[in-house]
Amino acid sequence: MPVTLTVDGQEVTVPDGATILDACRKAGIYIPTLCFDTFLKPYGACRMCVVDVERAPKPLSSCNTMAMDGMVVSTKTDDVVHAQQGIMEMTLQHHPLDCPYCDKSGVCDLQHTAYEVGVYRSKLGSDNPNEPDHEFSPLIEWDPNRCIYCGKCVRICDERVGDSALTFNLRGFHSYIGTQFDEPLDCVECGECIEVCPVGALLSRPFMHSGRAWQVHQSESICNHCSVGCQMHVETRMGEVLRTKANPALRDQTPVNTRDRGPGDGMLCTRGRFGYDYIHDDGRVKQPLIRRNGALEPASWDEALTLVAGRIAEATSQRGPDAVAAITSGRLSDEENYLVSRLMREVVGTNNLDSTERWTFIPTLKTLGPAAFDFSIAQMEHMDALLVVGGDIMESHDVLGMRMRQWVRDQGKALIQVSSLPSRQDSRFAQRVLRVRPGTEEHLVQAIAAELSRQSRNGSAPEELRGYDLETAAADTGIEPAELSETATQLAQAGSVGIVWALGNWLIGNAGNVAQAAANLALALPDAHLFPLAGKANSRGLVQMGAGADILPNFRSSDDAQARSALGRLWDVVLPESQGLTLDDLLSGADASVLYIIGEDLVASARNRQQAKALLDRAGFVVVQDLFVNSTAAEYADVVLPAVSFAEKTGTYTNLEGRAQRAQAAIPPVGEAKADWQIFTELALQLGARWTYKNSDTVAQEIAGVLAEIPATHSAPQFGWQELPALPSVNGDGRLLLVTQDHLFVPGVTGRYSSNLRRLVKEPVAELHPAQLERLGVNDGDKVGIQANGTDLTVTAKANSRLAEDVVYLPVGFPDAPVGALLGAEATVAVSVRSAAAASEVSSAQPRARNET
Amino acid sequence: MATVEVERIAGEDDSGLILNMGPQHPSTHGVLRVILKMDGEYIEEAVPIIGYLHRGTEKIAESETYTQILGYTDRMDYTAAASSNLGWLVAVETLAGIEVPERAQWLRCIVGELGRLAGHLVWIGTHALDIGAMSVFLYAFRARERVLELFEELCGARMTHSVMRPGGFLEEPSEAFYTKLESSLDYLLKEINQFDKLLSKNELWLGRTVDVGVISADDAIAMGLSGACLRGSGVEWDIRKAEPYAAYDKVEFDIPTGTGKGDVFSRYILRLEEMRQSVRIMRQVIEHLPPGPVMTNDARVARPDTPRLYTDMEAMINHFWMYIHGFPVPRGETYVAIEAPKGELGFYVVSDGSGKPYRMHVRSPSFVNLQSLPYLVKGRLLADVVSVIGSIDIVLGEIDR
Repeated sequence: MPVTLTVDGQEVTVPDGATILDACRKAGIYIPTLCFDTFLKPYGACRMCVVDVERAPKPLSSCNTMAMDGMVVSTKTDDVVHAQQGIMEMTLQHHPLDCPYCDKSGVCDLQHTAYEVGVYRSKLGSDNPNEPDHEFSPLIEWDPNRCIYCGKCVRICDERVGDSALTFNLRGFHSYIGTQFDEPLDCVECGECIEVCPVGALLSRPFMHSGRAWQVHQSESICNHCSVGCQMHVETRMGEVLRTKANPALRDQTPVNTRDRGPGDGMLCTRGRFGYDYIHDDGRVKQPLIRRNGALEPASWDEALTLVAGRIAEATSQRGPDAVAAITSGRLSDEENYLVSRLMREVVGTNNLDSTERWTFIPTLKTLGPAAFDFSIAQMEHMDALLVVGGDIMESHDVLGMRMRQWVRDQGKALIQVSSLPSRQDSRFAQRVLRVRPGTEEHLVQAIAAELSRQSRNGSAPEELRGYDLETAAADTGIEPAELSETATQLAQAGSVGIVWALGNWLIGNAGNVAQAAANLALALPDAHLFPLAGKANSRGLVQMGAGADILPNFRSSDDAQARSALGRLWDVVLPESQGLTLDDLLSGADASVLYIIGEDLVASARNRQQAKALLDRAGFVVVQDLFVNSTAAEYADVVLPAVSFAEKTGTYTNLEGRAQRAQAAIPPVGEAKADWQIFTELALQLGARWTYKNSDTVAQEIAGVLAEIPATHSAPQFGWQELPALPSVNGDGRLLLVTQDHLFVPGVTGRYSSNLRRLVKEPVAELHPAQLERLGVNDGDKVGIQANGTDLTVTAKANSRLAEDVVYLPVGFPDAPVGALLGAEATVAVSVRSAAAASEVSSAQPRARNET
Repeated sequence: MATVEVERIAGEDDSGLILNMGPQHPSTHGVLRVILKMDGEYIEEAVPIIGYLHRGTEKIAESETYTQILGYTDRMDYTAAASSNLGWLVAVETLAGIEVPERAQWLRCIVGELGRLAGHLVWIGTHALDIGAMSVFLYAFRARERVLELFEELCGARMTHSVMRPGGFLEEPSEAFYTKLESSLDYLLKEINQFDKLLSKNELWLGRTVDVGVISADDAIAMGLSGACLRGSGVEWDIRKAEPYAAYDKVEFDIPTGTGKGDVFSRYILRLEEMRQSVRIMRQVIEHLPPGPVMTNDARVARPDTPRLYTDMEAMINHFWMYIHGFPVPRGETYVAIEAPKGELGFYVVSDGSGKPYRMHVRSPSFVNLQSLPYLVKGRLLADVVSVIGSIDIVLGEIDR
């Protein structure tokens, strides 16, 4: 029932439950606010929003007073204005005269509101406590003098982020913003508190004092660190990225703002907000490099491209086009992945094009079909229960994890975590945590699927699932049969169930099995949806553009003659029919004379480092196109082509929902670097193609035509059974199972160069159960040696009682810790762990320092 | 555009001589270019070509605060920068509803009239020089030097000074300014009379100005002419009297109409009289100048005193917000015109409620007056073009903006 009230003589109709403030803003009447935020529940701390309501004994705060039928509200009476001015004067009494050097000056809510309500002269004088700043973390600082105690930071951490890391400590005049009981800050470091702070009290330490609000230029962009695709603004000044922040349009303070807040719901995580500084890292390659006499030396673009084109032509003429292979990356834009596919297929004439999506996204796609990727985050929000399998969403897709917390907290959704690792979701948000043994996530899902279909079919499971039951699963996973059965019942009764898993590092070697198990469970449940979350910013785009050995645009298979001929017609060539070499083929022994690696550090990313090195050794000519001289380039590249980051080029990125979003170029390229699409085009021209691309948008237009010409085909997933991989036995031999996972603060092979994020975590830490540490004779914080596959790694140990006893957790992505070298080809690896004091003489493979790579 | 015009006036038979004048010709007062179709020494058709000094002032204004725009209005009619600024300020103050204190209103009359003198002294100097009276040029610029010195005493700058601000004046003028002003008025009057004596009865001067470039009152009104170009034809129209601004309704002065014949001489003789009237106005202002502040007490617009910035949080915020974002002007639009030395200078301002105008358009008198040039010179001798351009008194900074 909408209610109608009168505001300043104007009739306004608002929905039931709206506040007076909502009604005023709908009527276009300005009400000053300081503690109000559309994202947060009304709080009424600042009292700036007071209005006069007829028959009310005193002015009421409009942000938390419900609008009622027939209410008569006045917002500009003398009483109201005096009250607002009085409150503002008292707020300003304790505010330091920092405007000239405060970061917030110019976009400060306090400045704006003080000017608007009309306080221009202090009646109360000035009383500045001049307290020292609190450094909450290497990224976040709190200046107690500037704080106006509106509580927005405390509330956003609680209501939106879900970490509740900040709180009001003490009471009254002594109260201050701090961590709970003044413990060290323990949170995801997302910096949402900085974003909501109306004054300059909470500050981004990396950004501090680097630019004034009125000097910076803002460009709309898309965060490039994971596949959620949060919309953000890049703030630049004179060709330099100063910081990134959430798109302010999504945080519009108008309650009637109906704009889609995007996949990130207007939020950013620590990667998005702080992981930008690699753009101006000193290590950026600023001009092409050519290896001469064993060392990489600067060269001109002409030289480098002529050399690359010459070597490609030479290999093609000697051994045919299949002597050339390219490895692309999910960090490149749609346009660039489309062009690399066109370069390889049309200009070179080979299908040898692949990426690390071969290990995660592509097997999932092959198992489930493209239809499984047609989902949205909004759909996920409407699920009654979410079953999160495997890798921690809070580490790999942080913003989505925060949104899940809101759904749990505000809408009472059930969250069930199936993982071998503890997660930040476990203690306060997950209704049920199933701590499985490493590599057995799909066993558990499969068992529940079998159990549920057995129940629904009066005891007979479908053919494919027969032979697997709760007891077997309990033995494999280490979860009691009773708990498995309870979980099955809960899922069956939950209503709609979303099965969520991140296509991340944990999945490598096992992706098809997990996808099949998830599909089986979805088929066994009455109403279930699959949510496979793509890994990198443009993993989905890469596959959709057909940048894979056996994939054509719109997820079509390269065996699909119709799609192949359609694409050939558009490109005016006959596409190669031979089966292209996949990344697995290359690693397991196939030969390539020329290896073109784009945006990927193969040595660091490959699950099996020995195989990757062997591949690079075999290749006659290696071209690396990246922002940095990464470990692959340093050791193996014959030519390094400098590419640019997302901020220096325009392009679209397809997020995990399939939403293609455009990121604007915010600054010109650093040094002589060029956008990847430009390098591909110039290389294609050198190789004799007649491409006419002028910018990324002309490519995008062509893609639209291609996708319309080659539509996706849809098929529903079927029950299936694959032999589940045998687990390495570690019973009694003293070895532990190694569990790896993406680390929130170490996002991928580019983000790892962000020194901001490296302030948060300097080195990888091996987490073990306290009992295990005791057995090893190691204290919390001591070094341990981890050995497997001929590699020995010395890292700091940390006790974590939430881990299983026979497990050691080591995050991936650190350039200094080649975790990839520990891993063999198997999905789960057993490692021996010893006290580093005992192992010191064995340290054969010292971790490589970053500046050496 | 110029090529098209040349082809158009040359006609299909391509008869007659096409003569190009400007844009670097000294007697076109800046960068005016005139394409003339000649029949012997007689002018068949004249086409003024403008745009050589276009700087996009109106567009730039959309991204500047109302105060910052003063720096651009200064450079429109740079011979009389004070008048351009005054026009802009009156428009902004009308739209924003800013009350200007009484003393500032009176002082604005002084600044406005000094601006008029500065403008007219350039006019008489260059106009006389164009026609051949070299010494007048030197005398006029010597007199103008005194006016510029007064500006220097007032605020430190001489030509483009932005001394007035929305709400009044930045600061109270120094005591020395008043002293110097009082002592200068007699000198200026003497100089003006000297021009009169040098030129008004001079045979050569009369030959070049009387009955040259004649326009009737009806034609002048129809063409939208204003200022001396309109009054020279006998129309008694002055915005200072018709729609008074500043303190012009409180001072006495006459509207000179020259000989009323609408020729170059009439415009010349009335501008001389206008300068005498300016001196008369300033004398009255000095006599009646009321005490009080020169800046409004509306804190949204007025800059807080500097000492307060170091102790007072409110003042600091006030100062910061005002200078970063500008003072907000209520949503709306207005057109306000003043009597500039060249004629009716109007500003059309649209505000969207922010601290920067949504649209700013200038009705500049030189631009409108210039369109009478083809009419005034048609059928006349080539030498009359110079005389007519001088009598219209254009400044290209204002035409092209």
